[in-house]
Amino acid sequence: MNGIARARKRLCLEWTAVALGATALCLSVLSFAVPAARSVSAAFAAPAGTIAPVGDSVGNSVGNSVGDSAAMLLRILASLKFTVSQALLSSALAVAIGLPAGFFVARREFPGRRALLAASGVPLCVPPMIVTLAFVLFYGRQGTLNSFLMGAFGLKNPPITFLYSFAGIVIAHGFYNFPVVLRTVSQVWERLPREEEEAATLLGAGPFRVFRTVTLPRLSGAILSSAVLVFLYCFFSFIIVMTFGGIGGTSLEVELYRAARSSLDFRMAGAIAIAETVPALLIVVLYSRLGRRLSADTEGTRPPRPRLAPHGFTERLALAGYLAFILAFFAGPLLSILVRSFVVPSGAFTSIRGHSLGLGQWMLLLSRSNFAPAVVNTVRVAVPVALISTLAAVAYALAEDAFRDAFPRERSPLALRVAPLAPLAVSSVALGFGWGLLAPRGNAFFLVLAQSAMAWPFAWTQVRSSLDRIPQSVRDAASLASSSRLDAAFRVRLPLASRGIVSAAAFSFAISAGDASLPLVLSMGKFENLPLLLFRLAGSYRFSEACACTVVLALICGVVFFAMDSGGKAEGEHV
Amino acid sequence: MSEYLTVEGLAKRWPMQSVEISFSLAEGGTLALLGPSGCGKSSVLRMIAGLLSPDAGRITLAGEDITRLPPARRRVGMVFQDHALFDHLTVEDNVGYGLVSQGMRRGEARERAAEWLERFGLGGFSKRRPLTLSGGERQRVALARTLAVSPRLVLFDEPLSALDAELRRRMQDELRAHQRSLGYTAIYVTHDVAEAEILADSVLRMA
Repeated sequence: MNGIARARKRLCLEWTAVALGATALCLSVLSFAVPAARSVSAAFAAPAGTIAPVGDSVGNSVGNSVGDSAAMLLRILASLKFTVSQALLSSALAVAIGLPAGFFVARREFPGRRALLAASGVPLCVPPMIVTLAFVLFYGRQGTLNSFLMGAFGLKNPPITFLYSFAGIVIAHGFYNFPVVLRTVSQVWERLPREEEEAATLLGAGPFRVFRTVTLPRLSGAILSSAVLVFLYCFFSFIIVMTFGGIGGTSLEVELYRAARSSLDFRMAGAIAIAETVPALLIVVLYSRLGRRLSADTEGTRPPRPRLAPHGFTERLALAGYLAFILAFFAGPLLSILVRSFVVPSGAFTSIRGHSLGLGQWMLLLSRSNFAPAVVNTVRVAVPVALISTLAAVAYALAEDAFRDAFPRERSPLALRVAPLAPLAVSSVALGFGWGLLAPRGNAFFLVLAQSAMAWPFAWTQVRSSLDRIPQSVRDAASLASSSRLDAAFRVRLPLASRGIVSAAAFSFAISAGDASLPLVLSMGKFENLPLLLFRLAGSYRFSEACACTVVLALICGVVFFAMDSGGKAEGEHV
Repeated sequence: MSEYLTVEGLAKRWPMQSVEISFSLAEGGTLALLGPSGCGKSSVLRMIAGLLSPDAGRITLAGEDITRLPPARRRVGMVFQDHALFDHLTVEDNVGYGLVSQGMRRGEARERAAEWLERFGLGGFSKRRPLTLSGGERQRVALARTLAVSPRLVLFDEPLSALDAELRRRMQDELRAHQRSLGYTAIYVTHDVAEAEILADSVLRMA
């Protein structure tokens, strides 16, 4: 084969890959846009067209319709208020917990630092279903903490009762999401120029004043950006609010689920979809703008500052106290799942005290006839989701780069920057509701499409940030030495971004494998997967068995992460 | 000697700055663009390489108007300030990269890369990764990678500014010796007058 034929063959392969990527991108975008539009359009359907719950009179008069609309609006406004206030407080709590962690991880060297840093994967890799279960086991009336306190102080009643309340929702959200703040803030903090802080110190400022006047303003972008992301997660939080939400009101997401699945009021569901999507879209635009500012903060070749050992007694005490706090309130609940999976209960709803340890619950779980199909289905859905969303993310990122190359002087239009994040503005329940209207009988294929639509913004974030880390000179050198732009992308840029691409696939896998919301909302008949099995086991108070199921789910995701991580290191060895 | 490279009224305007330049260079000649930081020297190189599109002007290389050609088709090489080596590839695959782009088989490209590495005193470095090399070694690999594809023109963007003073002096002599023995046409961008005089036959000052 001569040189030209070889170059042509390579180009042919590259175009095939582009076609695959473009198909995945189209699938992901359509799987999001069409059902989202359908769920929103349900709000405009004629009231008589809705399927009224049993007992309701069908065929309302005009007066009734106006009255209904007003009542609907009031209900939505009350839920909106509840949703926004819990999300605001949750974000504030996540910042309060995450900021000290950001400091210690970025600037201090201590035993446990890597473990704390590893926690940053939790909000993405550990599904809310598992966190909910962990909190119930740890903080519940009969949970580990209450059992311990009652035993230690001889109390008759459990002293900790906040869980099933507004405070419970906020605390669960705050602890679940603080690693988002930790990760974003520490990345900026470790690269802050030392000189500015030293100059302020030489000008007579004490440590607190240096922090307040020099460090904090520099960190504000990272804090705000992570807080906005946490706000968005909490705004759309479903399982946690559904489980812990008390009588005092509930969130839009739970209202939407009830309207779509219990009362079958599709008009109400559509209206709620609008009420939650419009503000969320504004938040996504804000997040995208903050993200640009943030990437300017972390860009550049400035290496991370060397980390020091904690100095002074006060700092050591603060660090020890903080680590104990995180261990007790964040790691504790998650670890209690593992412990609980080996507890053999004697009653339906029992505490750990007085029970023996054993493999009984594991045997029970493994012998369930629906356990093996659940494992198979989880993997069978998560693998194509990882493939489609990662391909879509890579295709979109390369299209963005082509746009930047073609119009180097123009800022990329807002639509181009917000488009990959747009699925973040539509909740999984709203998306599932839209899918349900389009395809009343759900199946695994629709689940794959719907989850790909939800997962690809996360995949895109990973791919985009790895591509953005490639220095301009390397991109230029590749353009000069490659036979085409496409060739430069496939032989230099993508291999250099391989870590990001691999972690995009791992995250997408984990998002799919842990997602209980979409399988719940799509009517999938007898379909069974691990999150659904987990949901049913926890719902019927079979906590130990649910914990064993959680451990299986965590093991599957852990194995994928481990395999992909070592694969990512080996990748990039080839041209 | 007839003009090999002609740059006529090449201009680029930004909101706060603009650059406009004309010059010509004979085949095998060397020119240094000298000027303070931010005067647009590097932008001139990037326009010649096709990495930045000019607002006006014309670039002719070996009788061909290359002003609108994409970078890959200009046959212009560039050595970057930070070397811009591909860290995911071995040293030999870095050097052979452009040859594979031209359709050469990988094995053959590696053999040719080994010859270039030998010539630059880097025999035995083939399987190393760029991240394991010293500044001077990275510089040589970058030069070998650029020259391996026999470019019609080689552009150097502050090629030695990342090196320490002693190594820098040594590399200046080395670059000059390579240019003399291989006879390539080159443009150097630098802000150092002494370096400009060592490296190039003629110097063009930009303000």
